[in-house]
Amino acid sequence: MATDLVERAQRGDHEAFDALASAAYDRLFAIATRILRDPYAAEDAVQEALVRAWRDLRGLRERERFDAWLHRLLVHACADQGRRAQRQRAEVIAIDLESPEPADDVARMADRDELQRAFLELSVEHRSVLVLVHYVGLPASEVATILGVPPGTVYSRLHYGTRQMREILGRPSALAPQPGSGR
Amino acid sequence: MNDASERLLMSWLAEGPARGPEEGLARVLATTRRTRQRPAWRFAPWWFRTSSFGPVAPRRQMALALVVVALLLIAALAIGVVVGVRPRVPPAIGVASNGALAYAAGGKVILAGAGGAHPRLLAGSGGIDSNPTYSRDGTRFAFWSQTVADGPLALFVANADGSDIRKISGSTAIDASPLYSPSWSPDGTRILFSSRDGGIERLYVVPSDGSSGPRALTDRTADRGAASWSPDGAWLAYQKVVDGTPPIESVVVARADGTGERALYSQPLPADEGIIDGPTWAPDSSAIVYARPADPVLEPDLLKHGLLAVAPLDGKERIIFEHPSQDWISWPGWSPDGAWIAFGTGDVGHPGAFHLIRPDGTDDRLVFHGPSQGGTNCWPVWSPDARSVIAVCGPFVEIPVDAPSNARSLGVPNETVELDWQRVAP
Repeated sequence: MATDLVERAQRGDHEAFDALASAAYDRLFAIATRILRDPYAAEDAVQEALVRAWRDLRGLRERERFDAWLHRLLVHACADQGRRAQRQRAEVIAIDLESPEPADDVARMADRDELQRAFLELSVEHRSVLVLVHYVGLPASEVATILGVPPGTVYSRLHYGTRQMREILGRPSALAPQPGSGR
Repeated sequence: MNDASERLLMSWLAEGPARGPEEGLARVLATTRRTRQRPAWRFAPWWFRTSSFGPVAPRRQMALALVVVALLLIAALAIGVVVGVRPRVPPAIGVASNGALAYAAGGKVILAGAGGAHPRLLAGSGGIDSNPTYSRDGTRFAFWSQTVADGPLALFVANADGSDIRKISGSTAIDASPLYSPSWSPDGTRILFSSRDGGIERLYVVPSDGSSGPRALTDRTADRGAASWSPDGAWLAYQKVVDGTPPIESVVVARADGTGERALYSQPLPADEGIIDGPTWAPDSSAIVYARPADPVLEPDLLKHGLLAVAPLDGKERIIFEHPSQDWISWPGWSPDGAWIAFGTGDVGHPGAFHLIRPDGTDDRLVFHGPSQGGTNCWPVWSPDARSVIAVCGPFVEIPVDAPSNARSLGVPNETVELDWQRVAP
């Protein structure tokens, strides 16, 4: 990420911002899709985050932190999308996997279904931490910076999120082999 | 979750699309092309520079000024003690005499005399200080402080001479973004501000003596910010954004306790359109003024116009100025005598302009051609006596209302980002 592009964009240069947005778009979409588990909501969240980034860019002091700032805007946009979905009682659409497992791998599909169910029971804030740590691969300290929360909050969200996942997955019909399931 | 489950989670998260739809990116880029950037001064990070504060004046002059001010303070204090006379204070409403200037630069609050003369660095909170805002009687000012960059804010109050600096926000970690100056109640007993709570911008009020912590005035059903107390103390005016598709942005008023909220103006806020700048109260508390974009549905013929509107508390808004280009209008300011409304026009990269206009929309005067950075980065600060207005943009310019050609630059540092003018008794 070139800080000179950020500087130009801060002065109102649309072409500079286009370059920044184009470079970030796929990454942001991948993250949003994993947080929201809904490609349409993810697309809206990414659009909201990037438009906010353009609108508020002049407030960014540390240009080298543009990427981290974008992640923060994205997580906020995902939280907004999550609230809207909750308010509108929208049906959450499972993401369409591009690389489906072999059709006969029923157990693995079931695992994914359980994971999806458990994951969606978490708040968007907890999902965001899990995605940023376990998918993006960021250290908790960096996630804390991105989210604007103390590192302890990230650790607690990680702990709570994984514990809740474990509890949900531990319910009947979850990952544990069930009688007669063949697993 | 054991290691196997964690690996499964990581593997599951790795599945899924790695690329977004191309048409989505195209929509984003098209949208940003139509979207206005917010002025930098609306953002806390812009002010909270980590760079060390540079001297405002040569060190010797500063030391001399400090000595003189200290001697004057001691003399004033002695006179006060001996004579036992309470300082006269101006009325909370209307015009007053011009006092000192307070502004923030380099993370420090500076107190200065007329025209920016004799700047004096406030001892401050020890953190990064900004947004000094005088109480209506001019005896105290409030300011924000941030201990660490990007950290939470705290609210401080000091006497007008810079003494008795005290934190009044208790242990509350204030998350104000965008950042607005705190607003004093006219009687000086309370201070209003906005802070994010779980991502929702809420209004809070706190006693100015710090006797108790901030209390939330509004719920979490909408974002509420840019709040200010009416000069008569009866009302609050603020922006409200209700989330939705699209979000609905309103300019609303409510009673001083936060009840009785009602919108004076509302419009959908699509992501590709502008934002409302304001509101600012009329000195008699009868109306508010704000700048806004045109409503894309109800005002299609005015699309891309910047509009300046006055809304009486008991009536319908009236557009008093249209800016017929893709430029926008800045946050407006109402003169203390009620005679004028000042505002800037323009956008980044274009020459800005500064206007005065009567509240009824007549007698529009272009009183100053702003800097190349554009007029929307400027906003007005009226002198308490209503005889001049400062265009707060780089460079800061004081414009006499009756003789705009005699405008002069203020002697404040280029990095000055916020300024307020003390009201004193005539």
